[in-house]
Amino acid sequence: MIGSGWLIVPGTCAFAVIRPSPVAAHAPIEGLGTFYSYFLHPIIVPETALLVAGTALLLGQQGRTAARMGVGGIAIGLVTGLSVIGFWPTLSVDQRFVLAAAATVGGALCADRTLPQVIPTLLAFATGAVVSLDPDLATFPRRDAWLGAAGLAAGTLLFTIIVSGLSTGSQRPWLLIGRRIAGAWIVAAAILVLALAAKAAA
Amino acid sequence: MHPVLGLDHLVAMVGVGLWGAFIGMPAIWLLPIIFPLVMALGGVLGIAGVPLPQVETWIAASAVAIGICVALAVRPPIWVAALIVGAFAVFHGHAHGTELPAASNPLAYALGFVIATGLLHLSGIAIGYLTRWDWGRLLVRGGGFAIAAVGFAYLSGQV
Repeated sequence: MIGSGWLIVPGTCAFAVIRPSPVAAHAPIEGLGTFYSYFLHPIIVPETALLVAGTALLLGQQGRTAARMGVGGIAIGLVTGLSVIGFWPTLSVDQRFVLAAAATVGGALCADRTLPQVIPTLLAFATGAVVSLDPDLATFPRRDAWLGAAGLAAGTLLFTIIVSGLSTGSQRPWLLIGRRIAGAWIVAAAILVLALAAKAAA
Repeated sequence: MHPVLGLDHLVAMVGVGLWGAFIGMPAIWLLPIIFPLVMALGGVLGIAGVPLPQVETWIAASAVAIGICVALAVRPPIWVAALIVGAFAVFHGHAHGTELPAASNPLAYALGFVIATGLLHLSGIAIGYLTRWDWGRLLVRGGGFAIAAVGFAYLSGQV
């Protein structure tokens, strides 16, 4: 599926980091506080949830070693992204890119092929970087910005660890099938919204 | 909720799962993967405004065809089953895709109908596991007749 190219991963990373785009605000949840609002960010923002869930399932599909390396990759990606947003607060990731990345990950899940170990790790890195490029963080006072960054990193890591752990922990047939079906759902949803965005842009 | 509340969609989706379970491996997982992927392509056609003829008729026809396949315990080669299911998926996707631009949150809408469709497939697969028993096979084939009957009712304009 993405056999030709692990070049896709660094390429998309570079695209995500370099491309400036309008700020896509994610309103914090009232009364929840900055830390927990951002802790839930990877789950409650649908585009991000698709990408993180797809990446975590893919890490689990690739086995324990890939899952461990991937969690490390996503952690480094989060730190990288949060550092970048600290220096360039106007940078953000176009949600179409997030959906395209989610569709790629979903396609890899559907294909259910063993990938070279570097690919899931780089995908995890890219996911961490994309998720953490949230320009809203730069608008907060210093303390809230740190709290938000910590919440975002903790939530994304925890979500990834839980989903990839559950996905890795069992080789039951229904789980193997379920992962592929989840991949198909992710691809289908992402393609539809991308098509809609393309129509709106035309 | 659209795939669940639209009876023609509902019976066709459950029928896909039932048929997959009836055919066995690898159809049991291949059909629920192919369907949403091809449905998304149909959805793209709908969003782009590419007209397809008689979409609702084909959706009803999908219930008739898949219901009959279940009822008669048809076990074609996997590529034939995938082709049949994929062809009908285009029309289901087109119907959803046409409605997508009006949705207030397109991603939530897309996720909702994809997941609802998938859960209906899984329901069909779960019911299809009854085919392990003789009485279950009769029950599932009876379900196929019921699905075909619903589809026929839509085709003939009774519903």
